Amino acid sequence: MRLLDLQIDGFGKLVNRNIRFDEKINIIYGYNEAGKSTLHACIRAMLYGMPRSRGVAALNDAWSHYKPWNSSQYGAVLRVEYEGRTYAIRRDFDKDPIGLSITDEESNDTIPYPSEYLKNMLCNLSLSSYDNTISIGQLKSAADESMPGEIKKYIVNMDTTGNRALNCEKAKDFLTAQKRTKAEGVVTDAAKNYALNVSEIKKLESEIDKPEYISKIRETEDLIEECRKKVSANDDERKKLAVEITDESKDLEKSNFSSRAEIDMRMRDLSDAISDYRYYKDSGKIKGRRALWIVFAALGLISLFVAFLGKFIKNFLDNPTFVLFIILGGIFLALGIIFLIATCLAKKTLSKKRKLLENLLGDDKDISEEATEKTMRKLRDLSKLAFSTENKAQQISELYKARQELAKQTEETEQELAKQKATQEDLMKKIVTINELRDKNETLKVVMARNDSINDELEAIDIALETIDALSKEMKTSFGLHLNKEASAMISDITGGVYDSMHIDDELGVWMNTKDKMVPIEQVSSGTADQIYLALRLATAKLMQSGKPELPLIFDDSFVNYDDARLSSVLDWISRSYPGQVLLFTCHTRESALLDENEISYNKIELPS
Amino acid sequence: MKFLHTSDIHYGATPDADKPWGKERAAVLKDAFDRIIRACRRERIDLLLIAGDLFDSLPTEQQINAVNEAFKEIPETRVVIAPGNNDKIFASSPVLTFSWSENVTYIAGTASAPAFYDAESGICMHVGNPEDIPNQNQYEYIALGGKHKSEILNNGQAVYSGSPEPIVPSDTGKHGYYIGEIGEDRKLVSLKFISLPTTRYISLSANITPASKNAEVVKVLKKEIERRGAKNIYRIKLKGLADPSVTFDLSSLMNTYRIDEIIDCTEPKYDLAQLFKDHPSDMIGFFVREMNRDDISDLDKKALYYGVNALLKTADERS
Repeated sequence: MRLLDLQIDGFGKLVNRNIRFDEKINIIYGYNEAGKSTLHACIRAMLYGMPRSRGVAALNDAWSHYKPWNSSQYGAVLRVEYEGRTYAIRRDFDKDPIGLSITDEESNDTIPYPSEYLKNMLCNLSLSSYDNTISIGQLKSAADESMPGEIKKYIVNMDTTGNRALNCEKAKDFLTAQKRTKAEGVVTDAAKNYALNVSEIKKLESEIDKPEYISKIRETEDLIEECRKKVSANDDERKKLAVEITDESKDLEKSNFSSRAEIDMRMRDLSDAISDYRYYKDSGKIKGRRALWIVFAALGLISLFVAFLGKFIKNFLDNPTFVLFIILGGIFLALGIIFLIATCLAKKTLSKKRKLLENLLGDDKDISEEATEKTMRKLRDLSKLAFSTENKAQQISELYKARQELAKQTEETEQELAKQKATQEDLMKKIVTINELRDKNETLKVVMARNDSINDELEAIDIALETIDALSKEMKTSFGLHLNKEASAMISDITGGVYDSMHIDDELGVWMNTKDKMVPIEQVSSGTADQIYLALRLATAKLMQSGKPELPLIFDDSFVNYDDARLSSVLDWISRSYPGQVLLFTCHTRESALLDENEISYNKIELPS
Repeated sequence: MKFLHTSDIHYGATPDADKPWGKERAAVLKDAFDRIIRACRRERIDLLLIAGDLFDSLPTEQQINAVNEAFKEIPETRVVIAPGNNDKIFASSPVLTFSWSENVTYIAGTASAPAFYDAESGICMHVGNPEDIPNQNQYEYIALGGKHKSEILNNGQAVYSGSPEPIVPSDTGKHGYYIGEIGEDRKLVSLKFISLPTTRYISLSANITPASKNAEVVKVLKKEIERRGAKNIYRIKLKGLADPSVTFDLSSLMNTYRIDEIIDCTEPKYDLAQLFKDHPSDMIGFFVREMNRDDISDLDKKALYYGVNALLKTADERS
């Protein structure tokens, strides 16, 4: 699009002005406050409109600022050439909303949807892109150290529309924040805990599926009951025996015997004594001896009598026979005396035996057979009693041993029972644990499903982030490539061949290339940096309008800080590099002087005229 | 011979334990069991078949005692219980060493199918798939267990009684137990389903359009819930295309009614073609062009919506 002329009815201090633009360089010259910025603002307002604020802000917005004091009219007509045809763009700033109409001058047709059409005429360049590319303000002074940074920022933030790059960052931040919030809903370790629980459950189930956990408590308790009963019976038995023993002992005590051995001994003695005595009495020893002593005594006497008779009375014996008979008589008497003694001894012995027997019989000195028999019987009974008592004592002792055995058995079985109860408790604990784990896993299942769906969302966000990232890089790269090509040509030109191209690395570091080395932009001289910046803006401006008719470049007091030489070379370069219209607003006469010097034709517009 | 067939009672379970109505549900399950016992007495049932999962998990001594006391009260009914998947049997399971009431038989194993067979009546009981039973035709009635929802197979010869009460939110529909009668000639004379009046789990699905606003969706759902019964437990699914700027907040419903879960399956209605036209040379346009394909996967669709949402929300004219 090329500007032809601007008819201002009323805009700021410009009222009823007509400004004609040349198709190449236009210098709009005016001292400060002459209306240059008003003119620029008007052109801008014609192309992009002017938003009206509401309320309090309305007092200070651009619209109020440029509303003319004196003129009743607040509007303008900008005639342009676009795609070979002439159009009149009319804006009526008084209308609310601001009235815009575009007329095809040749056919006098009013263009339907003028705003859409205007956008196309502007190559869809947004207002901020306009501000970043074709509308160039004051260029930095050569001494400004932030130029490399500016250049970098410029490159980084540029994409084909010039202002969406930042939004990608914001969009990415937005997505990252969304991701973070959602990720908080993920319960970590849910799947891990679920699996752990499952294996724990399996382990416990296999543990309790063993025969040692089968409950035998009832049988064991029955056993213990049996044992107790046996012990009780044993105790009763022993008690009974003890009572019997006590009774028997009393009887024994009465008899003055202290043990069965004694009784038996007494019995033996008594039996011996009885048989001895009887035998002795019946043995006829006494009788025999008695008989013998009488016989021998008689014989002795007879012998003596015969002797004495024979010798002294009748004298039929001779002396030897007399002596013989005396001797015989003496012998017989002696014998008789011996046997008498023997008989006495025997009688004594018998008496002793009798005494012994009587002693053994105790108080009842009756030695008759009946009595002795009775006594023997009594003794036998006593012996039996004593035997029975001893027996019972033995039984008690054995029963006691048995009871000890039973008691031990009972204790062992009770311990066994305790163990079994503990096992059952263990079983119950395991069962309770299994149930708890199962419940936990039911909950975890739900949690895991929720986690899965959250993870799906997170994955989707990741895909969105990655795609935006990749596209962003692509856009930057592809634009960077184009920009690079365009800019490199200009850079080589504007720096007079010092640098032949520029490139941007992956970290968006900017490098200036010479024939044999690469110089980082930070090390380039500030003057050169200015040139590079200018070249970049021009390159971008050109790229924005690739293939489309050129929009006018607008320099608004851009070269204030340039020295003459620099300015001269720049002006020369601009006139050669930019095929489209150039509007150069300035409050100096230098530009026009230099253009004159370089024999570059231009259109001069003076404000105020 | 009259029989009552039930299964999957899950005695002792607390469904929806993390929800405020959890305790009530637990009481309802116990109550269902009591009802069945009472029905056995009232209808003079000869055979009570419990086809698995009488208990919700491995039962404690207390729980076994509790059900046994109930069985003691119906001494005229023969009770046959088979173990299920949740209350499965181990060698040491207390149910095997417990001294049950005389009328109760607790089946020790289900290795062979069917788990129980009564030759006199021709009824058999099995927990699981009826296909596992060899020679099914010899049985007059196959009492099946293992499913929460009742189901009739083979023209009524094999029946899943289902749980008498719903246990989990997916147990929608009617619940109850079956009472049947076998005649003298070993033929099934009658089979009735007795449904228990109970709280139901109901799934609702709301169709959302780009015109739907939060307030009206809440109103419609509220009306439907009231119509079907405010005591029931609901699962709500929102589906359809929604206005991207509208977020649905149904928390007021959650506070008033028994809502188990709300799932938002809606997709934002973006006019992608228009977006692409409006943003031919910036990230939004590029992004739409890159992601929007004919055969787009569900995951990529989600990514597309996330990206577009983020880009639109953060778009502004400042540079």
